[in-house]
Amino acid sequence: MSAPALDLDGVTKAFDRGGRTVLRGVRLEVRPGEIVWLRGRSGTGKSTLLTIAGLLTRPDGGTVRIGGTDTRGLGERELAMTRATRLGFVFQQHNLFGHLTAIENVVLPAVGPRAGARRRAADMLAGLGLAGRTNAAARNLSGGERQRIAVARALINDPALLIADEPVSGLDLESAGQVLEQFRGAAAQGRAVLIASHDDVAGRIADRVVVLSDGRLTADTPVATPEGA
Amino acid sequence: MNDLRFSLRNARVLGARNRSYGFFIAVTMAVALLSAGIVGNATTSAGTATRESSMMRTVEVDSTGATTTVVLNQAKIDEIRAMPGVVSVLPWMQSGTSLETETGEQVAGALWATPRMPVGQPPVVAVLPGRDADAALADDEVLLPGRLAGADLSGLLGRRIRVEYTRALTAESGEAAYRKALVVGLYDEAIGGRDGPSAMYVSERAAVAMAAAGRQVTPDALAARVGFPKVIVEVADAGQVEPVQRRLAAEGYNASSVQSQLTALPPLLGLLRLVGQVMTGLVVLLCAGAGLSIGAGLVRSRRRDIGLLKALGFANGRITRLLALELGLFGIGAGLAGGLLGVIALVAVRMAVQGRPLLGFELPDGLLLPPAARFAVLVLIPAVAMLAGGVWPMLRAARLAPDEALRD
Repeated sequence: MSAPALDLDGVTKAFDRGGRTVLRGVRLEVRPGEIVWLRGRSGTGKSTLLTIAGLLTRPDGGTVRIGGTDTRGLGERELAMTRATRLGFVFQQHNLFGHLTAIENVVLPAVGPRAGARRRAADMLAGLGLAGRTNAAARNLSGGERQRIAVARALINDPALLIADEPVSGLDLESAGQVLEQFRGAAAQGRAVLIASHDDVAGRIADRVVVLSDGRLTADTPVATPEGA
Repeated sequence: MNDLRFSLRNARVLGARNRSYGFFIAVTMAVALLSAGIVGNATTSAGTATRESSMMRTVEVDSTGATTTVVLNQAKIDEIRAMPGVVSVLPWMQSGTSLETETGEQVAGALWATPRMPVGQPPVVAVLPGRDADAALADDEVLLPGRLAGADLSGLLGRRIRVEYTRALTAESGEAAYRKALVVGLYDEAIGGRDGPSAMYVSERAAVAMAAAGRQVTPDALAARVGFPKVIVEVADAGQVEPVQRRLAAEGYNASSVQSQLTALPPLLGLLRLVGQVMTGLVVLLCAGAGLSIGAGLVRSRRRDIGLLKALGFANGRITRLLALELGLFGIGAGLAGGLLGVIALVAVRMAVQGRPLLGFELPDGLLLPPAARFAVLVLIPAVAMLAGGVWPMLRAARLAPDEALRD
């Protein structure tokens, strides 16, 4: 059996301001091909958990393993390389560079030969129905188009783990459905997907739902696939 | 997308957001370039003129000084000629004459028969057809000033004249003596020189003959015993003037040169050079300030972008390089804009002073660009200064914690 794409073990995190403890010994595994939906009320630490899982911040305690590699001993450069090659991020506000074109945003983090990355990006955008928008400036695209481009950018280096923070927030149902389909496709190709979302539509594609409450995971249950889904 | 291209796109956005900085840097740069171009070309022109002017390659030795008198005879001439750096030593003397034409018309004013030398002479403005202006004079040829005591002498060009001079009979008396000569050319008497505006140039032999007659000696005796009032020492190049002059002075000669008087920049040009230096300093300060300010602005306005780049796997060093490239490209853009403005200003100056001296200096033909190396340095100054000013904020920006940056 392969190692989990993400393995959080006893992760704790407190913020200096007021010493508030946000995460208290969180344990979470996400396996390749699995989509995990992280739920919880605002302020319960979902985003903090994602930034720790995404190696953007270090936990105060516990371990974070990516594909079986303990990340505690990694330096800044190795963490950056791990983020570039093994992790993909999708943010709530898509976070594209507005002055770059769609395809330039996608290839920006690409590792390896440029020509290959550009070809891959063009194929991905075509697969998302954005073939005619590859050279449009990101600032001129709709919210749904931007978020699909953000997903394509997260997948450009073929990461083992895709992390998404409120990826469908603010999108209409059709756009949200398209974005979620991208996640489903990524999981079908063997990638692990961790999605934090208030929105119940995430449940349509998730294999498991975990609930974060008061800094702890209080529930970890499979999601029943709706009939006909 | 490679980092250079990404930075280029970001630099365009940065430039659009900081137009006022770019404008001031470009204008200041242009003024610095303009003054560097004018001062550089005027100085080069002056230097070339100095190097090329034969007057600058001569040292004058006078037989009488403040405290000493030296007989500048042939022996002394030979002694001076043997000094290192000396090319030739030419005797100088003047004899008073008056002229009349073949038809007996008197020419108003006295003329001084002076040996025509190959160095340090006023320019010839008219010669007989087919004759080289610099050709040596035969013993029966003369060069006259274009004007003498307000009278135009151009009508004498090509005519035969009679030169009257004095042959001494005793120490206190003499008689008129005559030589016939052909006026082969006219020189520009307005150009100042050691010979004065009423010199009549003759061959060295003719000048010596007239001077000897005035001293009641033969030409050979004049050279051997009596000596000449001055000798003109020609040196190999302008750089030899000072050492030769020092050596002559050390050996008791009363030596002087005009070189030092003509190599200093005139006050206006010196002022312009100061303006250029101040402007260059201002460009450096302005750009360093802009680098600090824009760099600090990058930390504030680009926190989220930097956090995003980190989330996408960009390491601190790469982010620092990207920010440095952005600032550097912005600086190069401002520098090139300043360079272009400066070139336009230089073209305008060139057109405005076409064919005329500027601030007392003749400028060379063509664009008045400063030397290529100076131009390149000026254009690169904004980029370097901006980078220097932006180093600290850039390093701070690159070290932002990614989660903090993304949270903003």
